[in-house]
Amino acid sequence: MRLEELWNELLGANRFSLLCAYQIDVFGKEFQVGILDGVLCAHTQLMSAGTNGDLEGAVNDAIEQVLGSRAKELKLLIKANFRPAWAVVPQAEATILWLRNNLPHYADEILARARGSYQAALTSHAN
Amino acid sequence: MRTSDASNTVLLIGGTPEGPCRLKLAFLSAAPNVSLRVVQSAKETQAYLSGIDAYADHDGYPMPRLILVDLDVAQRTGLEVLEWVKAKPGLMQIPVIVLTSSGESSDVDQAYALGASSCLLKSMDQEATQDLAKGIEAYATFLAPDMGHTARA
Repeated sequence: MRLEELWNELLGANRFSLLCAYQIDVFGKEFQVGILDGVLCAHTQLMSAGTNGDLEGAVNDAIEQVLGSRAKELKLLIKANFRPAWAVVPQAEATILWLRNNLPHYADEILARARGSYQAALTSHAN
Repeated sequence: MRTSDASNTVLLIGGTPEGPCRLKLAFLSAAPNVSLRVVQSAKETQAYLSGIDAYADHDGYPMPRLILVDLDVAQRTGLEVLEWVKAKPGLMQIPVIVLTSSGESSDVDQAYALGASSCLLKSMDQEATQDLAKGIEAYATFLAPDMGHTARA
């Protein structure tokens, strides 16, 4: 985090864009608010790990599979959630962070299913 | 010590006790499975959650699954209560959702720092408010039955 602060000081004094990269498994337990809060506060935008909506689709499908008919209403709540101190977070990652923080009892199952379908989609695109 | 029931009780801090409140109306029309209880002051909230004074009847005033704090009408009270809930064993695991229409960054940041689970932007649009109520109802349904149902002191 100290390195991020130093970069932000440089950014304040000079006009340039900086793209930081962190290796993290978005489906893993490490992708959660308590761990990422500092990083998200130190940046302006998070780029999605997925492409073409694959990740968002996989997460949404998994939510519906696990939570059933109430999933649609829950997604409205997740979308309405906001955190001004954070970087702009893509919907898929924002949903994962919300699940880990607010529905921990369901998060593992949902994200295991999402991982499976996301990886299947990647394999399908590669073939 | 007594434990409360497993109803879908949601405690709203900052609403008006009577009269037309947009949020209350939205819950009544769109989220009928939620039993919304409304308190206004920090003292009243603490009495409700402690099950004392006017709230000693635990069947009539069950422990909520979820707490909503309306910052628009109870900014100071809401943040004060949030801090109290999150510091109190037996209550700290109850999720607290903060509602605001201003999106004022400092209040929201403070609410998160004090332990709020989510902050939601209220809308003046009735349909959007009903969607919010539906989402909160769905969320309350998915909370583990033992969450927010710990023994009251």
